[in-house]
Amino acid sequence: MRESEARVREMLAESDIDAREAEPLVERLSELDRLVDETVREPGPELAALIAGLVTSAAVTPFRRRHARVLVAAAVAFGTVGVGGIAAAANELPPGAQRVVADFSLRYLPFTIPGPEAREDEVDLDATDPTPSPAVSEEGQARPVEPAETPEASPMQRPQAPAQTPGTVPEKAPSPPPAPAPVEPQPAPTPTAPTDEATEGGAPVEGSDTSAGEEPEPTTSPDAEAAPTPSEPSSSPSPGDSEVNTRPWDGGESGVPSPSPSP
Amino acid sequence: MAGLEDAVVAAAGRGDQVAVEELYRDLAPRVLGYLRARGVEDPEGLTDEVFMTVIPRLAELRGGAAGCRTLVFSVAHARAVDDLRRRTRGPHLSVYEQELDPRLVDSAETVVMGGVATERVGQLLDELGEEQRAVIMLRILGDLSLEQTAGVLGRSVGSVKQLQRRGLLRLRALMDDEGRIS
Repeated sequence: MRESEARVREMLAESDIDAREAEPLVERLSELDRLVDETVREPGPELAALIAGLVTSAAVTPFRRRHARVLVAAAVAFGTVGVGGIAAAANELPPGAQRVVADFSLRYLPFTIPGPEAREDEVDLDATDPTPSPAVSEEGQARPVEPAETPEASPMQRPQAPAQTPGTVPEKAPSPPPAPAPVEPQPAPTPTAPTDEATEGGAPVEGSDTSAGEEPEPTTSPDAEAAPTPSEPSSSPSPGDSEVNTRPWDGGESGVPSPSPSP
Repeated sequence: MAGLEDAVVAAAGRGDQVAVEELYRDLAPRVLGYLRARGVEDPEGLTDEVFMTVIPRLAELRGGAAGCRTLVFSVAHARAVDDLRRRTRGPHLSVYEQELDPRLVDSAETVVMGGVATERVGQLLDELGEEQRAVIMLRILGDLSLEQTAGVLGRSVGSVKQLQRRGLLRLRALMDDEGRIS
């Protein structure tokens, strides 16, 4: 009895069909066995390589797994680019990386990402701002400045402000008149300079005592406290401004008060 | 018929090349016969695809030889169904080859199937519904038990048994009709 014939009889028995009544059916279905070619066909090249172990199973991993890996990799890549882009836009990457991203954006992107230089600029501004503000608050000179003249000439105000401050300072005030020349070398803090110089000329001894540690130049140091007050209103003073500042000094009124708060 | 042993399947799962070859030689002819009986377009190519799908999964296989046979025919059945759906979705265009024209010569399938007798079985099975045909082919050509067939088709054993019974009764009725006519 052929194997297929035995299987057909088994199937008939499972189905409660009498095999004797279905003998022709058994013969007919047993012919299906001819579909099975006993001579084993040689596998194709890919399957042969797989069987021979030349191809690792990883290379034949199901499509779903490969697809999942690609999706995960894409998600990681997009996430990295997104986070990096946000960080770059906020100018918070390390300077080197920020520079590279900024260059890339300049060349290839329709928008530009700021370079690390922009960050430095911001830092400078911040650095300049804080110094004057505390000085103003401490000295209380800022208040007098406001009423003096609201709009433009901040340098002009400074001298006035000290004038309003208590008369403790009068010692330094008289000295200032000639000083403007040395002020020029210092670009940004020019407003402060005049006061310093004024102090130098008038009362060098006092200045040396107080401010020696604050600034690199010992001359300006004594008035370091007073210096911020003038610098604050004029955020970006130029040498010309400094000259302007000196004029009020010349007037004598304003020059007096500024040194006073420092001691 | 079932020369495949649990030890061979286990060795194949461990990557033993000889065991993998033995597994292929044991099951490939039946898979090819099943795919031919289902009338797929490229039975040889699909047989290769079936084993390329199965071999990498042998390491995770449970159930020994019976489990392996179930897995192999599950994949083969799925491929056959996919092929059938693909062909019914749209017309199949192929280059005309005179040597394959059944009006001039016997079709390759007829030759391979062993002649008219096999062709008659095929015609008889064509009278059955899709699932009844699948059950009978899997049981005879795949040499699968009721449980294994149920596993391949994703049905309960009772459901498969019922499909088998109805299919056999239908075939017997058809043959009775043939006898009366002839």
